[in-house]
Amino acid sequence: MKLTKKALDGNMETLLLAVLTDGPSYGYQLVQDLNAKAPGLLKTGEGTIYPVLHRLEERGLIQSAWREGETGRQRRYYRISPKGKKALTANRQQWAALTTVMGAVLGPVPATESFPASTLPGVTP
Amino acid sequence: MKSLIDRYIDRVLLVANLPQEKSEPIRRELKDHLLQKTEDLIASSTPREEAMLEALRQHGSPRDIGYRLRGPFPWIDIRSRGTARGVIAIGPKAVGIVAVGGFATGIIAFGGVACGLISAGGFALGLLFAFAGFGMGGVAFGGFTMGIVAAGGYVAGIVAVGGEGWALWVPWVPHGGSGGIVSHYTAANVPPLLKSLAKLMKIPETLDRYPQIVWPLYGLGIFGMSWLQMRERKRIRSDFDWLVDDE
Repeated sequence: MKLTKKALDGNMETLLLAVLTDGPSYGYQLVQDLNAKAPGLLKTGEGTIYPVLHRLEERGLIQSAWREGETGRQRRYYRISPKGKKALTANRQQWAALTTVMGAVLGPVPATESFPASTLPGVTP
Repeated sequence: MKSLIDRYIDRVLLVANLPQEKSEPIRRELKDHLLQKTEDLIASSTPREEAMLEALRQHGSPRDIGYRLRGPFPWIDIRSRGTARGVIAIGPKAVGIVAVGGFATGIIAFGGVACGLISAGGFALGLLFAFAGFGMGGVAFGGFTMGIVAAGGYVAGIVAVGGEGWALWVPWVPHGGSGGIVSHYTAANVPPLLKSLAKLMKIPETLDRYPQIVWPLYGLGIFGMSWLQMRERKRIRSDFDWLVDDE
């Protein structure tokens, strides 16, 4: 079972906001964190998080600042804004409501149809 | 000589087509990512010569990333692949206020298959107007059309005028029409509302001029769309000696 681009498209923003609640981070680290939680999620599309990050910043949900990283290179760090926290809370509630509705209608997913995150194929957002 | 990473980023930014002040921070950010990734791959025993290529591969297609970096709804979006989205959108698939493409959806849509308030194309669905080979709309003109008011070769509607017409009222048969018509009302008993609708056709002059007006417009549109897409394709290829592109 492959997680499609369409299924992920609307949710990547929420995923990134959720990861950023752990603290400020930069693009590469965000990819590592996402892949640690859902292996294979960004296997061949790491660069696609940047358009999403920039969109979030334009909407004021995250803020960014350049500062020197551990390697000595200038690095762009992102952190979630108060507006972003509110949006994340709203998205979580929406997601909870959606899963409740879907679960109630579809019933439990049989073991043969479900898949652990570790088996996700190379999905790009 | 530029490094592979720089060439990759050049290509991303070429597709993104952003102004300098926006593209420079993106360049620095992507470069930091790719260098870090390369260093981590080397640290995890990937051979040095493989590490950079693997970092680029995992980063994704420069064209995909470049297109996404354009932003959600720019003023003008011209693409040679995928779905163009913008106030004016031109691409194989296009969604915009003015959309031109193979499949076009917009307020004004023009294309092979067009869907909008005002549509023109091979197959057109227009809430208000449709000009098409096959058209459906409030007011539809074309070869085969259906609409509240429909005019063309083979037509069906509330009020319809065509070579062959099926409608509540077929007010007249245009020049060259075979007169194969099915009309519920006649001129004697047609309700006033249908009479008013028929005026939309600006009878009969506009109808006679229809092919001379619409087909040149259609031809110009097809030419313009193809030319702009070719130009975009050429622009992206101009810098081409990229290694891992997916064209």
